[in-house]
Amino acid sequence: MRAWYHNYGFDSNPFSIKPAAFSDAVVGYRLDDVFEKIDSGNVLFFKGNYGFGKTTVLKHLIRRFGGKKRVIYHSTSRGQLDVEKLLLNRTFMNRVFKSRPYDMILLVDEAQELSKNEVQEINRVYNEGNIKSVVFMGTAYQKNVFTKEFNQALKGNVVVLGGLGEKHAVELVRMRVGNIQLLSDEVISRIYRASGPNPRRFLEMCEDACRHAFEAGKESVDNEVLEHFTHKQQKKGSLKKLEKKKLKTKKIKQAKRKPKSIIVQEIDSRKMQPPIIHAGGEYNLDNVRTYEEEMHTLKEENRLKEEK
Amino acid sequence: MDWYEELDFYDNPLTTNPDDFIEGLIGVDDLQKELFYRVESGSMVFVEGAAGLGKTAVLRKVIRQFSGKKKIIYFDCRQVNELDIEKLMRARYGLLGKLFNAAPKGMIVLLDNASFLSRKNAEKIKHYFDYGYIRSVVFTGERYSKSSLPASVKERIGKKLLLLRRLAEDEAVELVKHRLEGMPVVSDELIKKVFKRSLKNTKKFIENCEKVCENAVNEKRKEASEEDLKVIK
Repeated sequence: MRAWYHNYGFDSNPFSIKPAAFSDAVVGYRLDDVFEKIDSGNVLFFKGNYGFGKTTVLKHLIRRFGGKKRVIYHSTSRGQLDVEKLLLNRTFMNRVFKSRPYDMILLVDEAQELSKNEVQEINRVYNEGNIKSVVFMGTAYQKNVFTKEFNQALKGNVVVLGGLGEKHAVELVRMRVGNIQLLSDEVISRIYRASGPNPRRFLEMCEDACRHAFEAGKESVDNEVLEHFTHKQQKKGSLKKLEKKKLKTKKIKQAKRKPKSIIVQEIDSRKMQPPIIHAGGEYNLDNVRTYEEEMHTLKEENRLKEEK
Repeated sequence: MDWYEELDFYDNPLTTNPDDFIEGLIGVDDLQKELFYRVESGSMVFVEGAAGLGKTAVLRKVIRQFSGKKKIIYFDCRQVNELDIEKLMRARYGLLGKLFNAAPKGMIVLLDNASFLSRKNAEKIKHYFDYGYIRSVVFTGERYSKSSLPASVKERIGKKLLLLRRLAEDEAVELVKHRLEGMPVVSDELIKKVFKRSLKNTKKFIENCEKVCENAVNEKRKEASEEDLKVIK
């Protein structure tokens, strides 16, 4: 079967949503600092909504530290975490002599589902020196689940994965498909504005746009395709909600009645936005502020407001 | 002697076994095109449709389209034994694969009745999908919103939800005529009536058609009539 991308010389879908499917580099992320921190022994928490690149970062961590049997990977939703067992399973020798390795790096995926007992277990092994660094990945950082010590250690080490910036959206596409005729920079920006900062949604929309253009026999994604395609998204997406919203607006008879398309955008962007206050801005790790900084700026703002 | 043998059919033309009628699937062209593209381009898809609308039949079509390179894993989650995805993936390389624990790349996983899939397995599938061992996953089920897939998997499916629609009346007539190869056993009007009585469920409709035809043949009539409708409760 021939798909649109075969005609452009790609063997497989260039907009695949699989994390870091094609390139070694992550767009917009500077992982060097993170690597250093892990190397020197730290507790880190990566916080990001679904589709914001947690697994991509994780893959890079494994690629960086894997190979010397130093990394233990665990996904919480796959079952109960048994650190002891994972440590002993590392090599045959460990298993036979029940000796535990030192300076391991523990990666915990889906950390939002961790239970208190599991964290305590991790903490205990961490204190005994078997584990050097712990990296948590999750959609939410629940302070009450973590032990006091970890909460202390996590201060300043919570990395919030924000959305994709407009500039980086273009960069991402260029990295995936190169300077392809199908997508101009302006079109990419428009798709980005429709999809929001979620990289996965953005890639999916790019794919759909290219496909529609190809099926319509066009050389590039133009306004007509985009309109047709965003219209379709509307239909698929939240028609019922839209109708409800319409009814509401009719009932209230608001003076500020907005055109239909803008209402759709509002709904979409609300869905897409991460729960964290950090919105917009760049997709750079050096621009991504830590949780503590986030709280600090919030406090500052509140203080300023009170002063006023 | 079976009723269809009287009509010179070797096999039952009105069978409801998905294996036997993949060629003659009707009313799924759009869905099939979309599904093939999604499987080809590598993504997670959910096919939603009530029982008897042809979910399994559509999966069989995918198997036909992509088979040949040992890339397909089909699993019906209603089975008693749990899905062991690792074992099934290793089986691709035969005995050597089992010995060396080789994990293949780019498998296509088809999961029938995904609502019976356990959380642990869903998580495993997500993991293998992320790491490229699995190219595409097709889930089927009666209700996407009610399926117990974890949020991370649902997020990967996103908007790629395909709905199996019910047949239109004309398509129902076409279906039966195609199956009976133009034998004038049932009239169009009668087919439409049977379709209505089967509540537009394709599987039930074909079963009922079979009952009507069987009754007509047993009572030595050349064409089924209103009286044969009695067989349908």
